[in-house]
Amino acid sequence: MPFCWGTGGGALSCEDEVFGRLRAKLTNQKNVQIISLHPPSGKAYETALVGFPIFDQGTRTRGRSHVDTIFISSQALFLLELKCFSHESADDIEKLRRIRDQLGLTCVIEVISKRVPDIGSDRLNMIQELILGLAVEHHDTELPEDFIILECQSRLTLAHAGSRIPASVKTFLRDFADQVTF
Amino acid sequence: MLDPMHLVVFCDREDDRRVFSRLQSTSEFLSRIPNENIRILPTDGLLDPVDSGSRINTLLRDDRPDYVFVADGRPVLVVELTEHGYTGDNPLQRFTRFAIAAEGGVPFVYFTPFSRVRDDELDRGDRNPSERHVNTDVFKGMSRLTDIFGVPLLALDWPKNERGKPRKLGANPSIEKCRNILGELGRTVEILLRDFGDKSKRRESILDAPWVREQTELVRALWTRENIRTSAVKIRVTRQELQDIIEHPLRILGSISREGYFFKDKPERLLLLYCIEKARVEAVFLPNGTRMHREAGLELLRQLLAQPVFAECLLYQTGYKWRSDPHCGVLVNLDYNYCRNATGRTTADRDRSLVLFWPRVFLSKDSRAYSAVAEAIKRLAVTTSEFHQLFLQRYENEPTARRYIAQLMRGRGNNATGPGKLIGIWGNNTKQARVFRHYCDLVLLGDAVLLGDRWRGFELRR
Repeated sequence: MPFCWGTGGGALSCEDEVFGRLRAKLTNQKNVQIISLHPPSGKAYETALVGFPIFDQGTRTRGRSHVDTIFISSQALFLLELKCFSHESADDIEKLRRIRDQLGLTCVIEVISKRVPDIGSDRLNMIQELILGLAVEHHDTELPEDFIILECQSRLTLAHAGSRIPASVKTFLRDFADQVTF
Repeated sequence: MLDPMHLVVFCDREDDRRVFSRLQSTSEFLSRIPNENIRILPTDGLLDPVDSGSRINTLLRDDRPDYVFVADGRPVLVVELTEHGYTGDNPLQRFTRFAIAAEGGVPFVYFTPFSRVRDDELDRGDRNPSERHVNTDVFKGMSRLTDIFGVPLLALDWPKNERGKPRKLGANPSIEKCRNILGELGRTVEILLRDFGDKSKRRESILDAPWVREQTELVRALWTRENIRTSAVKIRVTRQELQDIIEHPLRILGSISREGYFFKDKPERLLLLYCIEKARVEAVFLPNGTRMHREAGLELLRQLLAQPVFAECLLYQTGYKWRSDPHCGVLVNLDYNYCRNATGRTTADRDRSLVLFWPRVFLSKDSRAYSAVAEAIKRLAVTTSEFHQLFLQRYENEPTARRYIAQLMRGRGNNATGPGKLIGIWGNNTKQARVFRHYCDLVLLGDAVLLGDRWRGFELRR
């Protein structure tokens, strides 16, 4: 060989790892329809990047909130943000709650239908629940009652669900995760 | 013919590696590149030069392309993908990568939607959102690089869906879907590697090959149509006008008007105007880092401006805060499209000079100009303050002025921001500093002027 390579490889960040594990898990689920997988690098070549409008005192601003991962299972639409530790997610929790509270399920679905025409309106019309969540490597904080947390570790996926998460979603999480804590 | 078994592909990120595996499914040749040869570039640095990484590192000098194909330690192709691409500066932001590849004699492929709808129009629910064409300066710049450096820079149209957005592969795409979206890209990359990779490796021109020539002509055809809108901040000035702007920055209003530009669009333009009002050259910096005080520096600049290349200048006023994109790419594109002569391989080979005017960035926090603007931002809520009055002049009443002040202070998202986010301090060890110093004749900041690298030693020669 006239030429020899060094290591030349990029170490993945913790968020990259979480993204990769979550992606692998989601793409292997038959009952999951992926809408958006937005990697930490920001390169969303595979799926659409969905941006939700931001309102300030009722007036729409120029800004948009992007969500890392969006998927549908059964009648639930999941919006998930990714971090390494859940204690890093305060801004994400605030952002997801703002999307839910400012837009509501109907408007969220409308935004998605415009950005992702591949998802048929019949499928979107079946959605009854908007579920907010975090995907992390380490869950190290109190669990918000209106959130799920997917702890994506190297070998296991642990699911945590707050007290206000509907039973149907907990059923989904039991199938999805290796362990659940609710 | 290049053997795919001996090709190494460097991907910018893991996501790019995943997309590359989809691209492989469209091409028998690409599918024969061994998995272990598909690598990810180091996230926080360059390749080890001892391992012959230096030739690739040249391509990573100021920017990271999505894919670098390497044969026997020599780059033979660079590929860049982007789904963004409509009008304005956005599609130009990657142009530094185009230029660096061409300067290194490496063929380049750009895969992007040539036109697409805007996301905000889709979100607003406009009935017929119109497709916006990519700023044709991108394609014109590609042709210029081809002509100057004798390497092909090819452009391919990313297929779109029925809503006018780039088609996505999805998380688990079928081979048919990969072919529909990436097929043309796969075929082009395959030909450039399989049929021309050996020549590219030896840095021999491949432009005479009929297929390559045909592809470069397709790029040329993309810029025969002029852009619909022209830019208000890229202006041609004479030597005397440039000297006036350096010594009295507000004279820029003679070319970029208060009502026609600064009192339109985003409130950031008022901040830009205020920075210009306060701008004053306190120092001139030479390429070797020597600092000259105002008077001596201005005298040096008068002598510099007497050089023939300053008879006509292209001045680019950037209103961005301290950041690298998109204006690095915009500036490099301006250089090749409007400043270099027909064979201009270096920044010394120009018909007209290239000057960057960046009033929101300062060299020192201790300068009068920086202090004045920082203080004004802190006191912006005070109705009687000078900067607040500027908002009142533009928006004509207090409630509207306050709304836009809030928008300026909030930035694009919903996060509050302060002076440190709205104005910046020049940092020499950054991509933007390297690009601007390399490609500009002069960089005009809010409180200083920097001579571009091409004028290294000028102070000794005069």
